[in-house]
Amino acid sequence: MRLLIAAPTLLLGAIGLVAEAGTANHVVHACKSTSACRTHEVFVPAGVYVPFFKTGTETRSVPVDPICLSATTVTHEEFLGFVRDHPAWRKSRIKKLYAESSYLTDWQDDLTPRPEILSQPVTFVSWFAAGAYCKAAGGRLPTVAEWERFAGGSAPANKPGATADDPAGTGNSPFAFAMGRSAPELANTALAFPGVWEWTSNFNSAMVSGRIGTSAGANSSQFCGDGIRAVDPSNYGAFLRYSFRSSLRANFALKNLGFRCVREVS
Amino acid sequence: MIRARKGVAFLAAVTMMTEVGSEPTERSVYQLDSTWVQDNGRKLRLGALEGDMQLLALIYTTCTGACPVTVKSLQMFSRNMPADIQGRIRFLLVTVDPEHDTLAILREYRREMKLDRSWKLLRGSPEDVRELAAVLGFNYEQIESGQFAHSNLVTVLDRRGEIVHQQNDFASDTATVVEAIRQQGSPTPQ
Amino acid sequence: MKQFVLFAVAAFGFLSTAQAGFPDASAALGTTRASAEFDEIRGEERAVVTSAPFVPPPLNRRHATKVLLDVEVKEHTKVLADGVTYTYWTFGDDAPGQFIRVREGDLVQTKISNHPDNSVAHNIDFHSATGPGGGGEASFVAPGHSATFTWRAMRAGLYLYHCVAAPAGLHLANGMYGLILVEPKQGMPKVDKEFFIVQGEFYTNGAYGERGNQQFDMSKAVREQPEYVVFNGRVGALMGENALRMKAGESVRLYLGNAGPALMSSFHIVGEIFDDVYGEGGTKVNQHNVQTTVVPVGGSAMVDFVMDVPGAYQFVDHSMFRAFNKGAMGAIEVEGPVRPEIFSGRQSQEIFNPGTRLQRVAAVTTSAAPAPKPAQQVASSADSAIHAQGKEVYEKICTVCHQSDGRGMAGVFPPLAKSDYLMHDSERAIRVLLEGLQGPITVNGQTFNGVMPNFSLSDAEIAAVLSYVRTNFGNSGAPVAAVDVQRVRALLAKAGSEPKDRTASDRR
Repeated sequence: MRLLIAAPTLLLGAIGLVAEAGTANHVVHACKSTSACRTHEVFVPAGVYVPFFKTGTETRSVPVDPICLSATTVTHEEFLGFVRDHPAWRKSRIKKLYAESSYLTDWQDDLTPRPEILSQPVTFVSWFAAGAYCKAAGGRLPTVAEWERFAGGSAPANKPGATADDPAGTGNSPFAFAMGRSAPELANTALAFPGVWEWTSNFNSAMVSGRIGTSAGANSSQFCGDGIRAVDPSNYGAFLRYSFRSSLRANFALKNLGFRCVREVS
Repeated sequence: MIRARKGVAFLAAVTMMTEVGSEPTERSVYQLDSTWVQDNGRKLRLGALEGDMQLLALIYTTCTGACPVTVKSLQMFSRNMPADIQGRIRFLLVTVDPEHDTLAILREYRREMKLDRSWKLLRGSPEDVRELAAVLGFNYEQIESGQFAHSNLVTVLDRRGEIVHQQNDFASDTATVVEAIRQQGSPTPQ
Repeated sequence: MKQFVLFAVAAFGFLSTAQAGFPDASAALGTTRASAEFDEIRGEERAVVTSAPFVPPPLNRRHATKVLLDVEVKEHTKVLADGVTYTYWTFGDDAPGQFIRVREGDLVQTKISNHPDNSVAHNIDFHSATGPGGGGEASFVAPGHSATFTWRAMRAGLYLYHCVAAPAGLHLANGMYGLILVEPKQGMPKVDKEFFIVQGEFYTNGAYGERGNQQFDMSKAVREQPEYVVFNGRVGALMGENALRMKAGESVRLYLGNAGPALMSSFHIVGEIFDDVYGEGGTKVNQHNVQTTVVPVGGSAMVDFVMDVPGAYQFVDHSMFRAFNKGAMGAIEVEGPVRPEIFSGRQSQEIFNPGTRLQRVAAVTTSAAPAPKPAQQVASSADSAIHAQGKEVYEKICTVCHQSDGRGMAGVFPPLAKSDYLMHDSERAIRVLLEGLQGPITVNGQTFNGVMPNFSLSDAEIAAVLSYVRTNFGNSGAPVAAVDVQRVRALLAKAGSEPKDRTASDRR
């Protein structure tokens, strides 16, 4: 009995996401958009982003357009291809404005990532470098709104470290849950989170937990004030994400910070 | 209390200045590959600002809180600058709300705020504004139409476009700014 | 007040703008004011820091200086309790972080470094600093980066420092806290020994003691129900080999902090009274002769005392379930000569059964049985009363293991019913009750290897309960008299094996 009910739901899900032919209008629409995405991309349908911090007492909601999203973060190998074609982004040539000295620090030289890390997410990349990569690939970095929408799926309240693949939450980061988790409707796609933080195009938007550059208008977001302004004060994963993003500068190149690109659906 | 604060701020300023080191051009904000339009309609690339020190603030014209205070205090500073740094500083305002702040609105803002010719008002694409803000460490987010949560940061750029001093709440401590400007020496060697 | 300060700052800003045309005047004003308001800073030195539970020696410095303090933030897996690990976030290597000692008037240049391997942004908030966020904003820093800020130690006292990056509760619950002492200009009153203890909580997904690597449990945290409440970062950090050691007669100061993040601490040393308490970590002794002092969450206290009597002591958060079930316990070992004039130790122990006939009868039995042939004499009028007392002791103490029918539990608790071991040798049975029993024994052909504690029973009680079991459960032996017990007890004492008060030592 249960199977009978579940089957059509699964089927519908498959149509929406894998682009089977369909007749209903919304399915046709999704189908068109989906086919616009490339092999290693996941189609993220239009949706709504609820910023983690309220404005005054109001919970905001921001419409988010559909996008094609890289299923996983950019690897060393892929980034190597990029710097081959764009010498200005090689570690010996990059301008100090665009990256701090730790840029690609785990590469032996301009064109030599260690072989054993080739397929791993590239990290030690600055916001500028990540943005340039995406631009060269015909896309851009996701916005905070987009990223939070597709990757901000929340963890079970009592086990924030747990994921579907890793029920005990004992992954390479004890707080991997904060580093990305598929939105429910993308749960059955190829979308993957390898346990690194990810750059967003407007990482320097929300203001959390103090750093130079917070205004009088943003004071309520400081520290404990964050809890009062948060949509869900018990969503510690979101706190960690917003806090981490607000600790960044555009030239930072960190060990656990990578990126993926999105392309707008034409 | 006040003195303590100033002391610490001064230390911070000195630290920042020593960090900005030997290879100036590599750190220049003027490397950004963006084109801006001034309120008078003329195009501007940041590199054209080379030669003068700039006091730079990001604002938007419908801002009712921090921005007018910042602009007014910058203006007051420009009128009361110590003689030795007078004429060495230009002022640069960049709108973070280019969608609303058209050139006409920026011109109106200039009139309203009585900003003289030492001030440039710039408008750019949303992406270019985001990039400039990222370089400066200025955070902002549109909350609703005409409303932003934003930093309250004033940046001093030296003649080559390097960040030599940054300060929140400009009005609270202009002496540190003066000191930072003096540290840059005079435009022509004496 | 806040409004006023804001106004003052703004006004001064404009004032200095207005005066900026006269740089010399402005500078002179600055110097005068600075020297009038603050101590002159002479020289600079590295901060003096020590790992728990030790405290840096007094500074004995007569002037203010610039103190250079480096703090490194690490995220790493450490032992929380036996068999239990947890990914701590720490200042330095441990929770709590190192104890920092500076002097009132010092300028503390603090450099916080967030290790490149770390996963999240951190910062540091000194409760001893005067300024926004205690430095939280100024020190907020991404992994792989350092941030420096300077604050003036305006007020002497004992202060907590901690990470306040969002979500602050998580950073505290993961171990990011420590203590900093701002010595008054004249120093703290001298004592012989100093230690520091910080109470903190851990919210693990597994229950207390559940083995393996534990994860932070958000819902327990939000409900303020930690699985662990510990001193100095883990269960047993101050127990056994790590107990605080001191000599009787030494003056001791404990610097106490409570990082919480949820529970107030009621700090108590079992068997000691604090002579002086610096309430809430301020510089004034605000009470003498204190049994338990409150250490508020995000706060501190200092206590001075002298241990007079040697021995093993425990200190606890007197919210006792935390002490017994969540780890809030530590130990103090005091060396020195015994002080019977202050504390005698146990002198005697008797059963106390107010108002029951049994007790009075038993007492009569003990004292009125001097004759060398007790068994026969006892088996008279007092017979049934002794039987009743024996039954009562048996039901209160023995049934738990040996069961109410005396059959015990196969393989675990030996039987008393028809027991060859019990009936074979009554003197041995008396010894077992006096001394307890440990190790393998054979009862009715079955081997048992367990532990039976001694229950500190009186001679009369032992006589009564042995008489009871030797004449019940299918056993038919002679009863045992209190004088027999007395005799065995004396023999054991003479043989130099004074019966050990094992229950008491178990409690330690």
